[in-house]
Amino acid sequence: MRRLRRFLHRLLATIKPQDRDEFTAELETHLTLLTEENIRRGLNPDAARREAVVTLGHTTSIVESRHDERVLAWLDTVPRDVRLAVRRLGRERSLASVCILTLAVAIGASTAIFSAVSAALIRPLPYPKADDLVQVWETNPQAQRWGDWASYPDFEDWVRDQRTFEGLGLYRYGRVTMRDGEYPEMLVAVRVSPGVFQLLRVDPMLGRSFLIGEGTPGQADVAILSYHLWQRQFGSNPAVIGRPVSLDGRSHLVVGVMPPGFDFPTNLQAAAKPPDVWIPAVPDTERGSHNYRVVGRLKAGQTIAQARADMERVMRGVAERDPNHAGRGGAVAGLQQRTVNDLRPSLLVLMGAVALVLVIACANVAGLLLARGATRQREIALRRAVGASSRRLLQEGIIEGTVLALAGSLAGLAVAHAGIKVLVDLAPALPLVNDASVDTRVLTFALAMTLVTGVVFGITPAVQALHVQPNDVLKEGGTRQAGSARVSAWRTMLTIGEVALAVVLVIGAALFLRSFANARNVEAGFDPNGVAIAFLAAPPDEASDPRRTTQFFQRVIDRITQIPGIRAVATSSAVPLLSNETSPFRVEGVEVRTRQDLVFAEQPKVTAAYFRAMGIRFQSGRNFSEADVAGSEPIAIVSRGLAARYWPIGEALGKRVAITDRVWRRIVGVVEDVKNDGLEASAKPTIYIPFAQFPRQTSALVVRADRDLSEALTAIRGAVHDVAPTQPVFGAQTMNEALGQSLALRRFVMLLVTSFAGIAVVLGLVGVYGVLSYLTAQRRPEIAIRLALGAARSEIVWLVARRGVFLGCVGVTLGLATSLLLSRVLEGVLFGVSPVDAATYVLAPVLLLIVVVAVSSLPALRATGIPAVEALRTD
Amino acid sequence: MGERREVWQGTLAMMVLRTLHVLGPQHGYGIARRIEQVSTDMLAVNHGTLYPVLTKLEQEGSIATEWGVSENNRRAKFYRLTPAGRRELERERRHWERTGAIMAKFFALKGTRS
Repeated sequence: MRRLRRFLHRLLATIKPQDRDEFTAELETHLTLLTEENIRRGLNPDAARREAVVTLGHTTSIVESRHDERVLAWLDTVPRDVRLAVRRLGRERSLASVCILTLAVAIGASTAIFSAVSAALIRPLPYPKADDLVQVWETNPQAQRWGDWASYPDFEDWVRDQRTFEGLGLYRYGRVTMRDGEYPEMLVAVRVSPGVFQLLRVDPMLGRSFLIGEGTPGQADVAILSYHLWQRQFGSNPAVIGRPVSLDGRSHLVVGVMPPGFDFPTNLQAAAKPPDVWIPAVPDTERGSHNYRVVGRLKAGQTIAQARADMERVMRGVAERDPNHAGRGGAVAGLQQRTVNDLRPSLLVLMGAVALVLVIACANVAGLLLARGATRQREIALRRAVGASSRRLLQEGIIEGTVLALAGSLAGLAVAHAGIKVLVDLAPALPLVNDASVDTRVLTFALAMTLVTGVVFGITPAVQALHVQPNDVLKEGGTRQAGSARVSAWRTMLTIGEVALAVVLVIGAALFLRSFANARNVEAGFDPNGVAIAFLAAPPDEASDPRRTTQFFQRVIDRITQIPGIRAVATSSAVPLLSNETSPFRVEGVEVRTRQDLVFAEQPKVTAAYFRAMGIRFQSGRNFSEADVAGSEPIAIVSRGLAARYWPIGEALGKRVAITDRVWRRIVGVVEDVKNDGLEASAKPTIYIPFAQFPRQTSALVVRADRDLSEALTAIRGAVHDVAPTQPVFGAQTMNEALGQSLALRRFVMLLVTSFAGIAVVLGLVGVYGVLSYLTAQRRPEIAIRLALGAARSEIVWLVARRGVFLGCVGVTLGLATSLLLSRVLEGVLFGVSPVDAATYVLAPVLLLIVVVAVSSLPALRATGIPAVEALRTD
Repeated sequence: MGERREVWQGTLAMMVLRTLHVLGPQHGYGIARRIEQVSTDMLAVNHGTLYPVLTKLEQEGSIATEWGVSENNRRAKFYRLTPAGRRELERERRHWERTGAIMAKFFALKGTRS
């Protein structure tokens, strides 16, 4: 108890200002009393004073020893130690700046990446207890794409039969036109079953969520607004509840507004826009229309595996009721996982790369501090010899290491901030970095790592000095021997490790570079240059009659054709990369016995100018013509892949296929394959139908222009407005933009991994150079003697560079082995190149080795420049 | 050598407490003189060594300080014993008595001292 009290008092005394003046006054009084006593005993005033001083003792040393008792000695010296450390580091400027720069880059890069990544990967979905939220879907062994969707009757069966969920909710993305101003606006609308908000456990900020029964025909139309729509369109007016809003020509009552940040269903796809409004889903009885996604919340205590088994059971029941569903199963997976699924592998790779860079950086700093430690042996031995306590020396070392680490971390923080901005610029299409801020977890981790490095390697000289006899070190030439062998062994090992890790990163970067180049070079099957896309829906009146729909789009096409600079205009119900229309099809003469035999094809309905507008080449046959209209012979154009699958070359023309309307169509032309699902997927079989024979209410306008595309799009918007002022144009972009976005993630990863590899190589080279310089400095006398004895310069260079070659070879071999071990990680993330691609594995290490050898000859060349006499001097 | 310093500091601390107990509040000079007297000049201490001990005792809570006026009208810092200090003194007295008694018995065992 007393000791605790004392400790606290000492702590306070250390922090509070000193009371030396008061104490000096106290001593002065003591002296005076002693002097007076001496005077009483008979001494004269001067002698009395002198006697008094002798009796009391030396004032300064009394003040000092009292001070040592009063304060916590080690804490008290910290400010001074810090100043000392800063001064010392200031003298060794090159060492300090290299260390701080290394740490800054490593900490900055890793923090920036981790911050961006954790925003997407680790931050949970913004719903309470989001771990219990799952996505539920049907599996269909036939088609991967159809695996996500459920139909409304299926959903109702699930709700009735399931046993493991607290609740299920259904949703579907859609678009609605809002009419509120001069130009109509297209909104992203999500149709949901009424209980969805309760399922997510998020209540509207204003108003209420949907009631059971809302959405069925006959009920009033209602809608719930998103926060940003409420802000933008209704001026954040709290009286919005009960106000009508016109969606798709029908008046909807606003019944609620959701809180900010609510964006169900959270969609991390590139350039996805958050929902503007939620509308009740309209129940239907189309069991075959798999249009909806389903989300569910597990009952307390239920696992995903249990839910999955239960869904399989439910689906078997569905299959009994409806033979079309035979063979389908049920699947369940965590919602968080499904949301980031596509991004996860790439982001994990990035995190791995960053970790490697951090390790390399710390190794570098460790090596540098070790080397410096060796040169400070002498100073420390001297201080010990004159009585400095080990404790003090260790404390100084710790503080020095800490100061270095902190300086590096501060700089790293600045780099991280800048880095995050750079990331945002690099990947505008990736929403994951939009609101990434510096992640404190990562910063703490990086800080901890550098602190450990700094402290451990900062006190090494002090620790080493404790074991060494001062005499050995203080002898002439002693600095060279003391511990230097061990130090260079350590540094060599560290450098080999760095080179190995650098090799791993370089190989990775090379693989990513090749993947990216491969992806970009993929033959798309169409010519994206100069092509712009915009989506348009025919007004309800026109849409009700197929002939009128066709005429509507023709009017639009005619109007757009009048715009100067437009070379071709067409309509298509689906556009590569941007929308799709995949359905089963049949080939005449090919039996379809069971559901498993079904084949799927992309089935866009296009006007004749489509192929010219998109730049898709014909292989054989003819294009659609004016004669191919609603009442004439049903025809189709197929893709080369589809033709090759069923008929020998050249024999496809004249054969017949049928699509969803089950009408047999004669093939009149064969065109080149097109990468509909993106450059990295294979081309889907495609059947093109004349638009006039199968018009679609919502279609894309495909325009090829000679002029600047953004101007063209503005003109197109104006043209559409002339023809149909009530219909908004949405989803406008150029095909090159669409292609760019599909490559966005790959490009992002490639750029980052390449940067990391670059940093790692630089760091590794700095490490190699440092080690070899050190070794060369050690061998100065030996080199000088050799030179004096007539050795050729090249011999000396080789003597030193030999070490570098050794380092490089061992490091590279180690790196190759590590890369092979880690290659599995890259499976699925690369494109067009194997994770153990021979050429990369040979070239990258060889290049690195060459660079290492080049760098290692530098210290050697410097060494040969030393005049012999100078080098022979002992210090 | 450090150890002996600590033991010395410990005995000095006890002497300070005892002095204050007997004499009541005293200033540094008074305490030093009294210790010299009682030990019949066996300890001609450097008065300065007292002050670190006084600091330690004050921080432990055994003594308290207060500025006052000395006999010859000098402004001086006075130290006095606190209740906690009194208890500590009692503890130390019992400890020394016990140690002394044990050591006496052992030295008595050894037979006549030459």
